[in-house]
Amino acid sequence: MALALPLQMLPAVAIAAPKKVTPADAAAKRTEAQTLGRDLASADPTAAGMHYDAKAAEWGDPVLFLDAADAYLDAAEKGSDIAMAEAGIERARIALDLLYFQLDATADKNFRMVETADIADLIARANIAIDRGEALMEEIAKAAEAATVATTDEGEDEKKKKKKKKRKPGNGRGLFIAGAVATAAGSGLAVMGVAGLAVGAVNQNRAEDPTVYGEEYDAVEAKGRRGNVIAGVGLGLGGALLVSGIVMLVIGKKRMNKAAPAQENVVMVAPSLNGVAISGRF
Amino acid sequence: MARRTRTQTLTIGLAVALGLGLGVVASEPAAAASRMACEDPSHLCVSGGGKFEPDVQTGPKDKKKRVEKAGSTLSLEVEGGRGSLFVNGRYAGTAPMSSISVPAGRNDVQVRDGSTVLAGGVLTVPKGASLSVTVKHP
Repeated sequence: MALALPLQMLPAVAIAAPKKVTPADAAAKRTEAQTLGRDLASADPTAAGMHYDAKAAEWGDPVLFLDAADAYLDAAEKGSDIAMAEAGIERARIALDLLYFQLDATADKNFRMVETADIADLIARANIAIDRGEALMEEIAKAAEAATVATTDEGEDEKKKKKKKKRKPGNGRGLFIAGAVATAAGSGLAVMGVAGLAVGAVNQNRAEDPTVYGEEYDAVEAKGRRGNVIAGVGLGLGGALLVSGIVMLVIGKKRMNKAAPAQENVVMVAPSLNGVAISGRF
Repeated sequence: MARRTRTQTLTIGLAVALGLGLGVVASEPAAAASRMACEDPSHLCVSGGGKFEPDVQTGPKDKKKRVEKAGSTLSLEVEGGRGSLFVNGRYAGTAPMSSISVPAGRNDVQVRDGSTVLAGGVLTVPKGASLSVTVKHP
């Protein structure tokens, strides 16, 4: 939302106002405007601000511009609206223009909105309104920034949740199958390792035989080493695969059991030619 | 030979076109800036037939000669800031303003931002003129 009432829309009729206006005349006119303004302010500060705006511009009344500033700042506070805070600050600045001008030598002596003695207090009030408006703008901007950050965080959390959802385990069937494969492969390798051990042991015995020597001894030693390598690889790798395969089988089975009740134990009753047919899956 | 000449002609043509294009592009912001900027020492520039005399005031004769309903209007813009306009000792509005009615003749004008007077003096407004006033905020 732009300024509550664009400055261009303010009626610029102060120069066409009565030839003589005293502070008392201005106060009487102001009281009428303030009565309605106060009623509006409790229900809708923006409407009150616009009302004060229009009335203030008729004669260029700094007090009503200050009232407009306060109303807009209330609206800004209520609705966390930076545009309203800007409008409030601008009205307070217009009031300052008017108040300082009244002290200027070129000001019309027959056209006084306020008593000269009151000008200092009104300038102080305008400055307070400007300070309040600036503080409000800062506050609203910070809150908006925090909200943006929170929204971004929420978005990231949702993305993470989605990722987590994607990673959600299935019914354990895949794990069970992988476990079975790993167990089978591990068993095979373990068997191969045991065979290797046997080959190693047999050749060890042969090598210890004193009648075996020379080329025959070298061949027996080579066979024995090969058997030992096979035993090491087979038992090591096979054992690891066997253990992990069994773990996978157990976990997979558990998951399948958890997932199973929804699919299993389904009893169906259907009409048949002879009466009722009951079928089920357990 | 003819092919080489044609290539040279094309190159020169492209260079001229590029130069003209760049010239137009470069001159556009400069023209806009000269249109907008008010470099007058009084900080007030007026267009549309009016005349501004800074730091002077009107006399009683000028006040008598003013014509209130002469159909003269004034628009105000403050460069680099804000300001309110006072005409003949009274508040006339806050910039930006467009086509507000002003008396024809010599008028006391002042544009100020709070306690700072941005420009002040006598603005002579012809009958039926539409003046455009630009004030430079210091």
